[in-house]
Amino acid sequence: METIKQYLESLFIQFPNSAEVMKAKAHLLEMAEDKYTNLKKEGVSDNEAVAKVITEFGNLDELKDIIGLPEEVIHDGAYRVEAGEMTLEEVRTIEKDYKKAGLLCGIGVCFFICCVVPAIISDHTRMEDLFGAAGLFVFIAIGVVFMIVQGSILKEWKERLQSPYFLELGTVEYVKQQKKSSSALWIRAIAVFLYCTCFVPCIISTHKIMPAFMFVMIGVATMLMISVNVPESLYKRLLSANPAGTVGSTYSKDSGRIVYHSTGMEIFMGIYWGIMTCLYISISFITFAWNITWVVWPVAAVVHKILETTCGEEE
Amino acid sequence: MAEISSDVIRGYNDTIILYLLKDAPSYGYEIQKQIREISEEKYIIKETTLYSAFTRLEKAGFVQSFIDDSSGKKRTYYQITESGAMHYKAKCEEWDLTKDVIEHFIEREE
Repeated sequence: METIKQYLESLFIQFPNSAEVMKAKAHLLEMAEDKYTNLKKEGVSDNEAVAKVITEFGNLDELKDIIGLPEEVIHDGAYRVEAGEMTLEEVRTIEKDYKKAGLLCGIGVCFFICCVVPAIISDHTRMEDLFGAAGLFVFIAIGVVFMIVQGSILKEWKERLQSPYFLELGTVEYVKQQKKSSSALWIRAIAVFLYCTCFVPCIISTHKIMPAFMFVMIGVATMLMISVNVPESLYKRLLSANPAGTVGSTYSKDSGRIVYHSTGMEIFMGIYWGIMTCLYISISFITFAWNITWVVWPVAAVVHKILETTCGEEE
Repeated sequence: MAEISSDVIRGYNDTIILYLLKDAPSYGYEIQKQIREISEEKYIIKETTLYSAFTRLEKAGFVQSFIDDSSGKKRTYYQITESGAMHYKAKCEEWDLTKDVIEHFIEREE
């Protein structure tokens, strides 16, 4: 029953709280409640009863003579007819393809990054030099194949995503949930960890083969990042599908800008990367340890993320 | 199976509701259920359609609403007025005429 109430509230979200609107809301809820209770009595499951009530409910266009629809809703109705709905099922199919493409793209880029690995290995072991050169081309070729495959997967949806469509509130909610999913957060955390620790093999041992490990770690980290960023780009795109001023468009305002609570922090974060550049250059010139001072960057990136999450809030 | 177009039936929602209120006062869900049953599930009136019809009928003075909570749940009931009953009769005659006219133009394939 809560779902039905919320659905009704969401339908009326853009209406002023006038006497007519309150009356209509109360009366419609009364009917919906009766229907829900009776369906439950007939032994229909909770989910089915809610779905039936919502699908049979009708739309607010019918009420426009009575309560006077605000501009947005009339616009909304026109937009919906013109644009057509993108169903939850369709969103799920596209999402699946985007996830696949993200992974393929990540693997492709990983191969590009790791293409020097065979050369490093053959240079510093007893292997033939040919192995290194051949490895380079083979890795690049494999990378290209992966990129072509992922490109062709995404191309299939390009037109669909560029043509106008709108998402029902339920679908918007689903996309929002997916965007927030914790698994993406974990994958990103692992990737950042790999980026930050990629120099560790070179510190542990001075063996000339160690940079190979570094490249592999950077490659894997990049692969993980890309595999979550590609679906993420889809979610952002879907969430901004409903144009401003239509029902369910609230999320399109989600610009993802980080806002800080104190102005001091706001200013500091604004010039953060400037400060880091100065810091990097000063330390490097003072110590002349250029081979290690680059560590400033991954550390700065991690600190930046931590400050963002602890002191800031997404708008 | 053919479906009823909401444009066509809109003009007769009022008639249907007045018919159902003819003998006794009733409320939203009950009327909705009766329409579904009597039409043998061929016409399912939406809540928003029903509400807008009620409001229109009340404004025109064909029905009167009152709140009743004797059944344990607070419900808005509707009662037909005298002018409502007259309007219903007029609509019935109008339908007979409409049906006659349209019937001349309907071809049925055997």
